[in-house]
Amino acid sequence: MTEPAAHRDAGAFLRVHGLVKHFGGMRALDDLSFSVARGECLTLLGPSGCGKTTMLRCIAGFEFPDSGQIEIDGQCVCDPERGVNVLPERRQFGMVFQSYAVWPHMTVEQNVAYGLRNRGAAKADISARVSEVLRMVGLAGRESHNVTRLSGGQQQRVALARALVYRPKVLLFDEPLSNLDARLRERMRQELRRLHKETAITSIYVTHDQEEAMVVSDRIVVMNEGRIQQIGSPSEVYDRPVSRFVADFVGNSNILEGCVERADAKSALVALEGGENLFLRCAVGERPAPGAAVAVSFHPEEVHVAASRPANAENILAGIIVSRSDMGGFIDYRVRVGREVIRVDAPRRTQHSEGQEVFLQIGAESCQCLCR
Amino acid sequence: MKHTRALRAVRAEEWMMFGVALGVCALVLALVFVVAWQSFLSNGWDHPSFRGFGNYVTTFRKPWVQAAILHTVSVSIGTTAFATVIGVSLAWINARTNVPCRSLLEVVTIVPFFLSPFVGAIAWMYLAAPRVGLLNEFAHAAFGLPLDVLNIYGPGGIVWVQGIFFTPFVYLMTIGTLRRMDPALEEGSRACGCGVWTTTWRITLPLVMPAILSGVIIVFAASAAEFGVPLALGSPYGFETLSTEIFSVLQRTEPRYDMASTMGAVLLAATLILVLFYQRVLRSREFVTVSGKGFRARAVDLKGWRYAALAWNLVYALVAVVLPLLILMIVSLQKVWLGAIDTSDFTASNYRFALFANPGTRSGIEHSLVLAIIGAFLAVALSFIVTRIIYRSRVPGRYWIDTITSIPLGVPAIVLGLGALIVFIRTPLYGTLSVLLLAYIARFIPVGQRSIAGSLLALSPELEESSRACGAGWAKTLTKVTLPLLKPGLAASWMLLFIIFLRELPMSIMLWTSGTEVMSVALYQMLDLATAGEIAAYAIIQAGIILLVLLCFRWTIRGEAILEA
Ligand SMILES: Nc1ncnc2c1ncn2[C@@H]1O[C@H](COP(=O)(O)OP(=O)(O)OP(=O)(O)O)[C@@H](O)[C@H]1O
Ligand SMILES: [Mg+2]
Repeated sequence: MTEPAAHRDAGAFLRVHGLVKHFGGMRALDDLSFSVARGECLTLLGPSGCGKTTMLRCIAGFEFPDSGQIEIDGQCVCDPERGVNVLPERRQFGMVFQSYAVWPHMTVEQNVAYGLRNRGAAKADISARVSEVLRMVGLAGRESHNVTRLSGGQQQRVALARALVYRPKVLLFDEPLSNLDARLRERMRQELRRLHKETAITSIYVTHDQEEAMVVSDRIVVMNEGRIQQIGSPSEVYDRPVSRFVADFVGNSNILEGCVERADAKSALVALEGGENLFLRCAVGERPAPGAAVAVSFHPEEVHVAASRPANAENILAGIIVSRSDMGGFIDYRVRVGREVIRVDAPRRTQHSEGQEVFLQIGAESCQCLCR
Repeated sequence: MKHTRALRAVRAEEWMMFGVALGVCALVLALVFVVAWQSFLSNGWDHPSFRGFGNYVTTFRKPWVQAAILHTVSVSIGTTAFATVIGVSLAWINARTNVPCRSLLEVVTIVPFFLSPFVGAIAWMYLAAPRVGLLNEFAHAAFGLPLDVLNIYGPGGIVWVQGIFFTPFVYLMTIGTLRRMDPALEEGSRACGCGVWTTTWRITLPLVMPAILSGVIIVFAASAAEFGVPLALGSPYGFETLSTEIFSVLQRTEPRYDMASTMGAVLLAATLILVLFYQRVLRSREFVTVSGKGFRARAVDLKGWRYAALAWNLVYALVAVVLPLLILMIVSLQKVWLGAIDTSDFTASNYRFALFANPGTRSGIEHSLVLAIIGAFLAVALSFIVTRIIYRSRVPGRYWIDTITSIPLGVPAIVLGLGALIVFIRTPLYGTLSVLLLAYIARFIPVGQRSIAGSLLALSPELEESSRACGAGWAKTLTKVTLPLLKPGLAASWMLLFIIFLRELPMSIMLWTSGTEVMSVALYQMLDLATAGEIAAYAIIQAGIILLVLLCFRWTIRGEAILEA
């Protein structure tokens, strides 16, 4: 078997190649391959049940895949074909769970020091490391507190400190923030990002929240039904989705069906199916064949809405506002264009009312052409 | 191919625990199947011949066997009816009404669950035996009634004692459902204009019906299998049940293993079917009324009737706990028991006799304590391993381990004791305490398994996994994380098993030899040989140890797990 490119990727610190995992007859992971560079934070993003946790648990050694290989820092930790399955405690990773999983029968100090004690660190060293890490996560001076008395956010910090303290090779996060309230979640995101920058520990972060993925990670792996949909930086995945699924899941985009009217190397004119004489010009990577069935996607916030038709501009759609909701930070309009309803996130200062006729302008560079 | 991959995912420690679990399964299967197998063989160990259903034909033609079956069925029906009426009414009163002193009543109502029905039968002998029963004396003195107005001996007495001791089964089963029932179900009916009583009758009762039904099944199976009570109150007066007959055919000069195992196999089949049926009912009931939210349903205001409810509850506590313990205490202090309390005659000599003077009773206490302490530790350890294999491993065949280890729930102790006797009598183990230990463990492994399963399932696997992530191996994870976190659950099941082992009679009486007598066996032998005071003193010692252990642990009793006993 020839080794695929991903497998030979020299800069990779953690490599997953061709991972397959069944639960009964159900294929939870379907031929997954990706790699993470040293010091990088990679996010596995996908809807509930797409296999993110399963993937993470395979890396940790809590699940054993049916086939494929996992390599951490040059060492193969898991290869069913060769019968390699390194014990979890030998894989030198740290893990933060959704449920925190702090040990209620131990104090904060005991929780955090546990990993160091298991590695036979010296006493003085342990207390120094523990207070350093607790300071890093903002829990300085809480060593002797009972973990069950801490708030959810603080417990999650303890879990984080516990995973950081022994400087693992890889940090695994399984939806660590999803049990926290919205405000705290936002703050913790930033802190996780800061901590990652500070420690530069290679991390894999699992979430189903695309905003969270955008904030914390260097690169995103979008998954669906056990398969990888797209790998790229947050802006690549957001701005250049390769499939309807990614456009919808990551960008929450408007997706309109159509077919290519004519195309050149940089852009294509797409006739939309939703009505007569509706055309959108979109940016393309490679030139699509005229007549090909495609979809056009664009983000709600990239639509400009105006009461009167902008002069001599391209990509204008006329429609009627069917609803208007004040979302606080922006106004969410739903605009009927032909048979389609388009979501528009407009600035607060726009004052259009329901039933009003408006004109939507979408920059050609904001429109993505997705092949069907 | 796929299978070998699945096997590779299983870690070494899992294989180790799997081996232990297989050992437990083998023990259970051996003890059960040997009874069935023996029922097809002729009597005698030397040259048994295969007789097919011959034993069944000869055994069940005998009129005394037919009588025993009839007795077993009728006593079980009586006990079930009695225990169900009391158990359901007490459960409803304690769960859904504003009866006074509820918290105290809830505790007292389940105390009989822990005490030995055999001891209860002895206590009731002193209360209601013709002529010498205290209640008979009282009725005679106060109302001039004849001295044998109450007669505890015979079917009525057996139903009475079994009924009051099995009431907690029904009570615990029903009260759990009553408590977890969504109040909206009842409030909906009230909103439709139905009164409290109509709602209770038309909505509440049908909703708890599955719980009541499973209580009924389990009490019926338990009374069909009950041994101690008919042994004390029926056998000496010619009223035998299947379980006492199994015992008595082995007491003949030439023990009849063929007849014993034939009757045992039939009893076993009946109780096993009932328990299987019960598990069915239990499974189907979960999604009927339980909504899983932790609310306490609103209490029904009984107004003046609350004192009647209190009285009903107190009467139960009186006949099930207070009177038996009181009478045993009084009799145990009396030199001679003639059916009347004579405070001038109080003495501690009976306790001296039971504890020190008489070697048989003393070593009974020692053996029982050793068996209960060590046995409970072993049983908890094995139950823990089995439970982990069932719920937390990737070993193939987990389902079968679960099924096999729950078989003993449906096996009458007397039958399992018979199986152990047949298996071990020809081995050097026979005549040692380890035979009793193995039999106890085989019979009660499902009790331990079920009580541990609750706490294990409540323990998130992530707590252990994060320990592995922190570099701890499985053994360290076990000692530093799992066991400390499970401690309350493990201690509770240790306590339960300790109590069960300490009072165990049917298997012990089948397996003991001189030198391995235990408390209940010694108590049984005393019935013929010792004075009333000595017997009562010994019974009080057993009940005292049990109550002491209960008090030490002071755990609120978790119904479901304990019920399975
Ligand atoms: N131990 C298991 N046994 C059987 N099926 C499982 C097991 N673990 C996961 N699955 C199944 O595998 C699929 C992927 O599960 P996984 O937990 O990896 O999803 P996820 O992406 O983490 O979802 P979520 O965002 O809800 O956590 C699901 O369909 C799940 O039902
Ligand atoms: Mg998950």
